[in-house]
Amino acid sequence: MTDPHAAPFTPIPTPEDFPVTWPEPAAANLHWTRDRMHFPDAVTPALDLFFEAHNAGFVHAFALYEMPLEAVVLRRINYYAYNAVVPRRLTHEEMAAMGERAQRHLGAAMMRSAEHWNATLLPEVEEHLRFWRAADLRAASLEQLTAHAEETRRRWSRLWEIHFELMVPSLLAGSLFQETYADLFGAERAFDAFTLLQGFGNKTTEMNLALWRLARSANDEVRATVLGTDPGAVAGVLQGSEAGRRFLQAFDAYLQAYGRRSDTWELSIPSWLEDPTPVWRMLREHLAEPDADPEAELARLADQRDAAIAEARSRLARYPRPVVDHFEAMLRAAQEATILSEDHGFYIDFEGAYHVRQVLLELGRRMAAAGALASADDVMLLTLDEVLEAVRERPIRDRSGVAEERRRALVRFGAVEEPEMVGTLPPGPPPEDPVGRAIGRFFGTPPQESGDPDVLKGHAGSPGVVRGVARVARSLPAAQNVRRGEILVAPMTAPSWTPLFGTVAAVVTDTGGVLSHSAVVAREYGIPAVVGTLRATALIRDGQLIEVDGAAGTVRLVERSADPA
Amino acid sequence: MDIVWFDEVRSRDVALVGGKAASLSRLATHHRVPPGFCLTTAAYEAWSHAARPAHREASPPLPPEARAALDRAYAELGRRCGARAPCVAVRSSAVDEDGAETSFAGQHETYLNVVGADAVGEALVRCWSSARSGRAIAYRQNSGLQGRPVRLAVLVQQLVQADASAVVFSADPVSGRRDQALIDATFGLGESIVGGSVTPDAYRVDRRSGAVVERAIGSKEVMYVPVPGGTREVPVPKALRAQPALTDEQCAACAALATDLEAETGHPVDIECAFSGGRLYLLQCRPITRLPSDPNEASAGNLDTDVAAGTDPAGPRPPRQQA
Repeated sequence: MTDPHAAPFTPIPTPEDFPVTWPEPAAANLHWTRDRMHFPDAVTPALDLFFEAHNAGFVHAFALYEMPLEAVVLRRINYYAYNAVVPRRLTHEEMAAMGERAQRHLGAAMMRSAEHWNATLLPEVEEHLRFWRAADLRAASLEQLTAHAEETRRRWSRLWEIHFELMVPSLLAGSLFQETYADLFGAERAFDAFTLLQGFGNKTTEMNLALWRLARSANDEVRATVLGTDPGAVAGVLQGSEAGRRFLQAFDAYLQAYGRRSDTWELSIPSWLEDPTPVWRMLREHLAEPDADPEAELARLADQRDAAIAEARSRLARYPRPVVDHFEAMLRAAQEATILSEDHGFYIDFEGAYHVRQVLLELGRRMAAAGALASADDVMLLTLDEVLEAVRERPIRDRSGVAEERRRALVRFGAVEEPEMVGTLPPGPPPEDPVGRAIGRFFGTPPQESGDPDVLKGHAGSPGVVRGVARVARSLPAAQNVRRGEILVAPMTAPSWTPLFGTVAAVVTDTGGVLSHSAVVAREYGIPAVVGTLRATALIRDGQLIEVDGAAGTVRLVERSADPA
Repeated sequence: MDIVWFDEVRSRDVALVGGKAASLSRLATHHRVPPGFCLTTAAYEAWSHAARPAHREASPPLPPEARAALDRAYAELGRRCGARAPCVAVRSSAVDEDGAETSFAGQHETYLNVVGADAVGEALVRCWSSARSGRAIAYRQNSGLQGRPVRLAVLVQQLVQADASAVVFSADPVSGRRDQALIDATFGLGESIVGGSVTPDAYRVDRRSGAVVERAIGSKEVMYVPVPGGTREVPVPKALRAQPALTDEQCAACAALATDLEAETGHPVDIECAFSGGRLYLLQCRPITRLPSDPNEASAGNLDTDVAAGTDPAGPRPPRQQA
């Protein structure tokens, strides 16, 4: 074995239309991979604030668990999100020793994730959310607002420390349970492992059930109005009747409870609370399908789960006690991890980002009012540091020119085919250990070629075979047109896409592994999924007839791309 | 049908039950040995005589009265180990006129994890039939044993559901040190240690204090587990392989058991044992052969020559098997 630090750095050549400059030279020595899973499209400079919090969160968690890596960091390079693994400068012996300590720490942490979340982490998260909810941004002086922004930055970083403190062991728990199941029951049945984790309620299913109940509360008049009116105008029409007003009240209560969701991790997109159009669309789906019963569906998944657990237990009945105990401990840890992987997002990824967006928008309003920006929304074209610098000057410094320049650059780079990787080639393959394997199951590894031009190979995400019309959507707004029974083909599906899983017949993604969000949610909804195909959105045509085999991880193009639709 | 239980005095008669059963019977008086009984050489003779006029290689079924006796014994075994249908091991054990075990084909028939009286009856008939197989008969002819009666006992013993199995040496068989016990241990049944299919954990225990002074966790990739109708080698879950198969307390208990047996037999011993439900079961005990002299007592007499001479109260040493 050679010292990875002694390996020669091989710079990756960059395309002419994608010049890369490194603010700090050390960054050029990292291997940066395009993170399409979380950020399929170009991102705004405001998102640097998220990357800062995300990176601090990883550094915290990796130090806490004594991981032999410093962090997984995200950075905006020419308006695209890239991530890189930052190694620690250790000898191989130190790295091996640290790896063993990390596995011990993570093993202990995954056994008490739910308890730690409920007793310690969630109460702290809720304290941060209360702080933001209590702030009256409109009434704040500019000085108060800038101080609030600094405090927001600090608290958001803390939220992401909590995020990774929780999610690193949770991810490992899911991965180790799958390995344990495969060891005990055979690799060919590895997939069945997830049946034992399904059908638990979580914040996402709670949110979906609440919307379904809201739909069921609509009387004939309201139903007709919602189904017959454009989602952008429906609220106005409902105001015109007594039943409509009552329904709007219930709708607002729903938004107050569940509407603090920003789309993906991008800060420039309004939340449901600000623009409830996506919620009206989902409501229409529920109204159009009066017989669907998500409550019964959840109960069915729970019954399947209990039967699968009982079968596994009976097969292990005469196995050595330490093996049975290990299986039970891993099962519990993985079940808790499955629930937490949805629940944490509700509070941290969604509501946290919502509040950060509100603070940025208020700063934007002040700048726009002072003529320093063309509109409040343009604040997303600046970094928080640039905003704070501008608002500290009197009068507020004009940044409208910079914003305009960035807007043009964003459009320009949006049309560029960005490279998959920049920086430096990695000195070798990633380490083969439980943590490395868990990361692979989350982000996905390159799929194998199918050898058949009509078959696209990805990773098995959720079992089942379904044939249907492909609806290729590169963004969540584009996906809103998907109809019941169609197959969603997307670069990835962030947690904000979850409600669509109740509508579509199957899901195919470009990115992710068996533990990625798309796969986890597809299993929870009992629909087939093939993930990590790398190029489904490029190869599959919108409207094309395809067949998804979720357990095999394959997508068959039933109609050739060249065929007329 | 002639059936003898481990706790009956007759079960120490090597000529009646074979060396293995006689040895277990002696051990059972002072130690926790899984309960069991023997179908004696007389039972085999009765069955074999009844079958003689028929084809030599046919397997005559158990006569009804023998079948009833076996059913009663199996039910009694269930009572003794607290299970309605206990899992048992059925093994054959051949004996020559002198009571020593002979090694011909059919001697080492072993059926593990046999459940239910019907299955025990089938295993029994298979053990008996193997002594009448063409191969066994040819072997006996080649060995000049033709004409002498086959004396075969069959042992039916509870198969403990081993959480972890261990082989313990009451002295270091390599260095000869007598103050330390050596333990090889792994998850599940002991077949994987005995058969060499895993690198087990290796512990070195100070016999006086019971403290583990050295520990090397083995890779333990596989384990033997009982499955319906037998045992199977299956992978140990990856995350469990690096965990020790025994706690320090269990190591101390193994060393203490080996020390007791050394004191009882007067010789350093190697034992096979298993933990099941928190209890330590003794499965087999043999003298350590060819033990070097103790380097700590250079002037002490050399025990290994005595032991190797075979005047050993625990019986002659059969090839190592899961007992």
